Amino acid sequence: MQVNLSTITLNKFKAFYDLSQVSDNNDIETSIQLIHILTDKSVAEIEELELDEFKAILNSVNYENTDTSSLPVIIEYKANDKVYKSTNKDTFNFNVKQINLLQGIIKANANNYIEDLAAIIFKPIDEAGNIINDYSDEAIAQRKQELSSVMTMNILIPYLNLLHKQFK
Amino acid sequence: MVVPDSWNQISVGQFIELVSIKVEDFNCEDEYFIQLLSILTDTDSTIIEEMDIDDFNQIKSRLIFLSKLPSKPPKQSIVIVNTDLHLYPDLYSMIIGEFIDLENLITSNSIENLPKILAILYRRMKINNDAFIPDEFESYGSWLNHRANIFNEAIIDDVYGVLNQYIKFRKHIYDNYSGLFDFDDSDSTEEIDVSQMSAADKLTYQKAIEQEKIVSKWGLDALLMKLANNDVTKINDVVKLPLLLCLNSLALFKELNIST
Repeated sequence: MQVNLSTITLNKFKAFYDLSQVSDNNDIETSIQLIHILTDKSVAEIEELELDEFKAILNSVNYENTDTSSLPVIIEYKANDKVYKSTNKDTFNFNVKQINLLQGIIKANANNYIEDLAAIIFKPIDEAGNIINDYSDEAIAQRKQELSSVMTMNILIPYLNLLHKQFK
Repeated sequence: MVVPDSWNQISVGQFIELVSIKVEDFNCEDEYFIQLLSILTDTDSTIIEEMDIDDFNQIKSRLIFLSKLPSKPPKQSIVIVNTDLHLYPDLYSMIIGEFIDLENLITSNSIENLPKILAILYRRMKINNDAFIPDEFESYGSWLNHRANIFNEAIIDDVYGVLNQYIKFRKHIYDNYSGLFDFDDSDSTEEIDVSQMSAADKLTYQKAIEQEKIVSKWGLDALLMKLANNDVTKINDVVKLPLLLCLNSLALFKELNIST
């Protein structure tokens, strides 16, 4: 069973993160629940795993142990026949509006902003290929809904790293 | 987008707008800076929001000069609407009408009223180029509200120093004539036992207390009325009298206990 950043969707990561914040990660019950969230395997199936395989999965989902600096910044993302883009330029950097919105979200919701980050960065394009820069509450909520179950963490983490540089 | 580097690139109108916004009125410091930059560059805030965050942060660091108010002495002359305007040559020679108008403007909101304050303190000058006849500083008139707006175009760095200069002058006047400006409207009058006074003394005392209360309520206007001998038709003449003459006269009236 392979668990890596390209298989963890945003909503799975959020559930994983929420559980890891309220539980003792060293507790075997919590570890089973965490793997259950990330792999869709039933608790019974996970309990049948050999201990070495169980430990290997646990190790692979430890985001802190993963070097993410080499992950590429993907500018265009397709999901459900819809194209989302983070920028029309060759390289991405946050704009003032995005940082402003994210500061507000992070202030209100400390660490749980993964889905908001994706919805603020990735926006749909019009017929001419131009990004539709709609940052209204409704538009962000809609994009969160569209992206959280399909976008995987390997897409978002490079942006997360850029954001951390901004807040350093 | 041209971003100013110093106060000498900022107009009085922009300065008033800048001072009117407070960081605590915004959700975060960046929102405040967006508004700040919008005022300084006359750019819509939505355009600033689309700016790259690194460029924005670089501009923010260049605006550090805004943390200190302009500190240069005021220019002796400025040019607005192609007109040379000269700084009041000697504040001690002003008339009481100018002083009262300046007092009202300074004490209500000196920044918001800055164009009007400047309109009083910077005026046209008739240059005589004559060794025997001095240049003539324009007389005070009824043009204050009419011309104040043009001072929004003045460079704040050139003129902000007049506030400090005027405040020093004002302090000097208030210190020297402190007995005349006791407008404290709190009930600070010392209680005197009137039980031992004669009926006539009690009446005089009560009148004095009443008059003091009126002076406290009306401030400088009460002093003007006193100078006009309580005749409202003379006020227009009194406001044209030299400030120092008026203050000296009032001080003399007070010392000699002459009531009007």
